[in-house]
Amino acid sequence: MKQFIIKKPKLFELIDKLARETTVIAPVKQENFTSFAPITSAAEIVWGAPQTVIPPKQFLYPQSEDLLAYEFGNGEARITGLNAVKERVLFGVHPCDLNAIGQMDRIWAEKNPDANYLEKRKAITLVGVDCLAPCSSDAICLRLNGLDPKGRFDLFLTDIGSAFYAEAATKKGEALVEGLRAPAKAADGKRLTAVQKKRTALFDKQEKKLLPKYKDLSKLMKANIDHPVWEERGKLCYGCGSCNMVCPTCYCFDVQDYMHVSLVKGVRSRVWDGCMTEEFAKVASGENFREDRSHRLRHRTYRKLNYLYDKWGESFCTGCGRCVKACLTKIVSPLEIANEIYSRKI
Amino acid sequence: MKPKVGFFSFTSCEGCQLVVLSMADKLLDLLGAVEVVNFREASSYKGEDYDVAIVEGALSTVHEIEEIRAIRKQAKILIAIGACAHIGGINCIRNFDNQFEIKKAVYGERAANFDSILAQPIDAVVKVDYYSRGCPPNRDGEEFVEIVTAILQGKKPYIPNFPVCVQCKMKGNVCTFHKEKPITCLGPVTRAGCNAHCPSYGNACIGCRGLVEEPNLNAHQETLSGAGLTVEESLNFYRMLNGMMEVGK
Amino acid sequence: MKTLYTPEMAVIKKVIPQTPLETFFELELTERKTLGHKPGQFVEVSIFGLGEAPISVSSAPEPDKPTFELCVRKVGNVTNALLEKKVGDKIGIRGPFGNGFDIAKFKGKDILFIAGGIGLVPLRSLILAVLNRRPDYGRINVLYGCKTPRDLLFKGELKSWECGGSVECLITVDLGDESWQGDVGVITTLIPRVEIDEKKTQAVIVGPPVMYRFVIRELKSRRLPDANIWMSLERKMKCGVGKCGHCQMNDIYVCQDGPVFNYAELKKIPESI
Repeated sequence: MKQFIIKKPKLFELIDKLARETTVIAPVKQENFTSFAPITSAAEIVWGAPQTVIPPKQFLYPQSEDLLAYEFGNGEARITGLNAVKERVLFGVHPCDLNAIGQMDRIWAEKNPDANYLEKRKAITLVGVDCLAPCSSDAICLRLNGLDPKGRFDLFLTDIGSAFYAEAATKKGEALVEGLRAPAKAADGKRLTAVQKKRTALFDKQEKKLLPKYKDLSKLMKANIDHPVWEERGKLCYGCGSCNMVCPTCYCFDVQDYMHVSLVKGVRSRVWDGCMTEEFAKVASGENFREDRSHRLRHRTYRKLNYLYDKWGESFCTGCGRCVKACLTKIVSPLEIANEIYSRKI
Repeated sequence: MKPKVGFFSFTSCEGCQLVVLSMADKLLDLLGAVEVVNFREASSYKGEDYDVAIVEGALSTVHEIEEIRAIRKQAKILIAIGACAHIGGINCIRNFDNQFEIKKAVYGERAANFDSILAQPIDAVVKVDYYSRGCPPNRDGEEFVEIVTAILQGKKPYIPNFPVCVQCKMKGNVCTFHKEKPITCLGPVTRAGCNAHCPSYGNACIGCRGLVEEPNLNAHQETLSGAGLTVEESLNFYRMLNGMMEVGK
Repeated sequence: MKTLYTPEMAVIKKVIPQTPLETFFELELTERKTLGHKPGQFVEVSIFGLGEAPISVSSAPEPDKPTFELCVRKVGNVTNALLEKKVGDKIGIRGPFGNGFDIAKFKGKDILFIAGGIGLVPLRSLILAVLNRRPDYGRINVLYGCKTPRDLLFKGELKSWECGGSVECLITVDLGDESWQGDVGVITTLIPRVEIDEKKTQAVIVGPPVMYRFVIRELKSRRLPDANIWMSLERKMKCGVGKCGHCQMNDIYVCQDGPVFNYAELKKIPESI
């Protein structure tokens, strides 16, 4: 990891230049929230709160993406090519989402590498921005080990007042700020530590407490598969999939074929799917292997706090708090579920 | 051979036909795939040569019931298009009032001359093979084209059975309940497929595509009352287009 | 760009209707010599314009045989369309996927095959593989149950599996007809007629979800250890490569870690049966 200091005006100039030359995607204002969108200048960027409605995963793993295109000729299907991937800069990503992208990198590369994701990932330059205050009262990132980005970026910027303290985890990150960076001095490092310390204290004060220990979460889940919390909360689940759609680490998808009405060509696309929806585990013959809303809530929570936690050694809820916000009946928060299970022993 | 298609209109604003006509580029594709032999105002339905009947509007007179039966007899495939045909739609609002009073208010002295009955969706009377949902059916024509394509392919069309929220979130919309000035919304219980058209333009979902198969109405009641709606206001919200669900649809 | 989701093409070599619902296909890949599957594995069959469906391979793995076999039930868009296909038509194939049966584990053992309905399809692959090396195994029994005599799969073949008496096949139907002379009743009624050696017998069960619980109860009452019971499970297997999430039961991806499971392992997976 290399450390630099970048003067603020210099960075803004760079962003403006990048926005002219390539595609820069950053959080911009959207009503009383923000959303990741292509920008034309640094002035459009919203640097801190509020959080984006959906995470930046959409640029690596789009809501709907063609897997195949085909044409029919002489009664046979011919698979045709898909569009090439474009280079893009993903700017202003917060630590919760950087962690999530780091986790997705592992998931998509594991065993059967998924080129559709990995190609897009390769073409992204990932620039993170540190959070100095919680983005909303729903954030639980500090509790779920999501506030420390753990090097999951090309470049990471922390506002230390007069300048940005920049860390480059990759050559790509270094190259991005070539020519406008100065090496970080000991005094800068001290400033950074002071900023981070103050910040962490603020998060600790404002974020909801996690009652069990972070490292015990997986065990706690596993031991409480029949806890009444699933039934009680599940009863109020719409099966609306909002929590899945806004989650930076939900990656399940459905596959659909779309035939052109002329019946001479079509595409096969994958579309975001959610394990909380009614028909997620239903097979063609009609059998639904996870029919009960409470079981679906348990499945989602377990994926974050138990299955993937055990497999990869960290919580797959990075505490962004989007599902906490999105869930209209307030049942889905992994932290609240963990707390409830912890304090209501069965 | 291209299937022959007839359009028929019952009690409605006839907006669904307009939507089909305004499907621009998709309309040309459609016209390449089917032959239209009857479009709305052509009032005769008997003896027409068609295989597919596309029907808009709710049934609200005795005469309309006879007509839909005749259409069903002729058509190999019947598609109900729009909320009125699918769930009775806005026409059903009057079902919750005194029919005699309503008739008098509309037709005055001559009320007795009209054979109007409680409004009902097409499938209350005849079997419907496909539903192109919504008020109006989704504007880009995607779902209508999906249904026509499915018929040509001989497959079951893909119609989502999850709430509007799924597609609303995919679009990255700010939830109507979370806006600076929150709006109450039927999205969490309404069937998706519209790409969350209304919430994407700053409006609430009013349930025009009908409810999902397993709507969590208890949860929704909690959400609506949490947003300050009384039980009666909530009911009226549903009754705007989904009145029929109360009589077991 | 070839990805995880790009199918290969396969030509239909043979089409044999089995029942009103099921049809048997023999297929040959156009760009590879052989599918190279294990018994119990499945492929994703692709009909362009309609989608994919996971289908168990029903032929025995034979390294030199260029073709493989599927037996398909009409249940959805893809399978309905597949049943309209004719000899010479091409379809897409991805796979084989899944773990399949580890046939080495059955060497020298008695094997009790228990199939319900379409469960005979994946099981046939294993049965044929075992019969190809009949002397390697002890006693072999095949129990097969389906709804009515009309629904019997591989009717012409069942007799040949008896290998002139060295394999015992018992068949039962839930509901007989005028011409049916055989057993009537659920599949569990056949189990008491089979000799079970708790040390040697390996039971392999494939059938609808509801069948497993009853069959296992029956086998347990005969003191068969959990580790001697094998099953293949059905789930919604959309991608086949452990990504899409639909087939998951607890932390297990059935399309990758299954569909074949040992009961002793399965007991640790609460969402399994």
